[in-house]
Amino acid sequence: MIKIHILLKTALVYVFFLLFFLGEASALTMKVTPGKIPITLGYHGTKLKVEGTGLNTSDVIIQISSKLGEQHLKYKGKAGGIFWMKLGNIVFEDVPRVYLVYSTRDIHKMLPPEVCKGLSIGYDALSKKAKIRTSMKDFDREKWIAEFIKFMEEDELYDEEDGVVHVDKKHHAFSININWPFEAPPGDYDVEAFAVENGQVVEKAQTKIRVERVGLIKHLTHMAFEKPALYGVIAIIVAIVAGFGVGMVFKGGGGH
Amino acid sequence: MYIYLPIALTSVNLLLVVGLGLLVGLLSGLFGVGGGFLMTPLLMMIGIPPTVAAATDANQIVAASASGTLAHWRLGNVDFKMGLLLLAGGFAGGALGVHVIKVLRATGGADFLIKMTYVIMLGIVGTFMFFESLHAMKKQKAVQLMSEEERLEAERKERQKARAKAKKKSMVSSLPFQIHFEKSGVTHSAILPIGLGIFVGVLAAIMGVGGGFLMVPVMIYLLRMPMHVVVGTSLFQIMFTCVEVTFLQSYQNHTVDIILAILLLLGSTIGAQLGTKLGKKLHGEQLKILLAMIVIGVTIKMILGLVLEPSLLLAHGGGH
Repeated sequence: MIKIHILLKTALVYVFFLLFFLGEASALTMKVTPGKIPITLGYHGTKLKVEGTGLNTSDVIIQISSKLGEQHLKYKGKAGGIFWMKLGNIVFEDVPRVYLVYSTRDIHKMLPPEVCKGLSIGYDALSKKAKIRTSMKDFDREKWIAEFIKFMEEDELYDEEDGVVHVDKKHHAFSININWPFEAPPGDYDVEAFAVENGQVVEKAQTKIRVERVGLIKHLTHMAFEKPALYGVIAIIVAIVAGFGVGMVFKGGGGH
Repeated sequence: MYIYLPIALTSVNLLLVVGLGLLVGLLSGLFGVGGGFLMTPLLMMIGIPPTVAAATDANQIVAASASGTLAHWRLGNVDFKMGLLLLAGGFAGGALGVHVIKVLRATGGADFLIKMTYVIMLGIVGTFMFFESLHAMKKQKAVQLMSEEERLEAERKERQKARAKAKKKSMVSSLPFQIHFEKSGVTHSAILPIGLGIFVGVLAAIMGVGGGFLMVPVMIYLLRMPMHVVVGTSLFQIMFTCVEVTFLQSYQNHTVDIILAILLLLGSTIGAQLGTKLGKKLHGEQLKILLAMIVIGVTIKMILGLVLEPSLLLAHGGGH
């Protein structure tokens, strides 16, 4: 009888602790608002809110990226030792078109390089995985990768910032407001959140956002690529009508 | 207020773009140039990809030049006969120039040729126009200060010079197919404007511009047309060249952004009208010296761009 009593008590305590810790360590979840970004005529980027719950660490990294692909660019150099100009082609392979990384603090202090590389987090990991194809002879890989990141940052398509993700320890939550760049092309983007502790990623959550053309922008793009002859003729007619139209208005507006 | 451009894949300030159109349209109406040599670099500066900037620029020039042509036609300043001959040459030269660029791109070195052609042509045209206009203005001032006898003597010398020049031109005037161009008041062989049209067409295709800034000096100095007819005729010819370019760029490269073109032409068509009215208030030499200064300014900017190290060592493809 006593044994059963003790067993029941032990079981109750066990269930209690189990429930307590499960509650504490509930799965990391994340939500991005808005999940769909429509490109309308008045589009100039948007405010994106990334927020999550179930965070049991004090550090978190948010990463937004497009799928890996090739970026075809031209490299500049001195021609004849005097003039700076585009000298040839350079292709960066296995790099995303958009890459935004935000964290609570410097990711190099949060994670060792091998972990960053393994999980593809941060500029350093991106640099190590990227490949270069170019007509340039004897090129310095590190220099051109750095130039590539600088170029993409200038276009607002790449960003790496620390100390910008807000963590609410009391509610095990995190959040960040992001200025989504209008330069980011239409497509699907991966959004990942990494909970970090003691140099390790202990939990991960992920979701997707979609950027898509709608309305007039969608129709014009479709016409430009699917019916280019019609598009060209319309562009010419619009220009001639506008030119002659303004000419008529000016004539009506009062002599010379 | 911002507007998204579906082909350029970027968002721009509405007022800024309309303002750019207005400024370039004003120059177009004033000088009879399409403004391509100014607009394309300006568009690139506000973040439009080079290929889209060049193609869309051609589209908006159609509007500005149509507006300008109409205004000049009303004033009786368009020599259609001369314009059509230059146009015929321009089309042939353009096709030839596109082929030259294709061959050079395949062998490399096209970018270098384009840049150097820009600097050399702009430099020569700008400097020549500047000093020629300065000389003419000084001469006018000197004539005003002369006595009646001195003036008659100067005019006699001027006539002698003109006769000597006319003798020199005898080779050109002995060419067949002589045509009198009533509107311009000159007689030339049809071969001359067609040949010059081919020359400008080749250079315009290599440089990726309409060629107005080359055509205007050619009409003034080689065809000896009066300035007011030059502007109207140049706009007439540019309009047709840019219609062809707009269609080809839309059809083959999908690089014409119709929204950007509409914003630019909103400004440029009005600017062209204002430019035409303003042009009537300025004297020919003042106009020429103004255009020369703009051309020299653009040349200096290009030379600095070539010599100074850029902040970014990478660039998008296309453009200059």
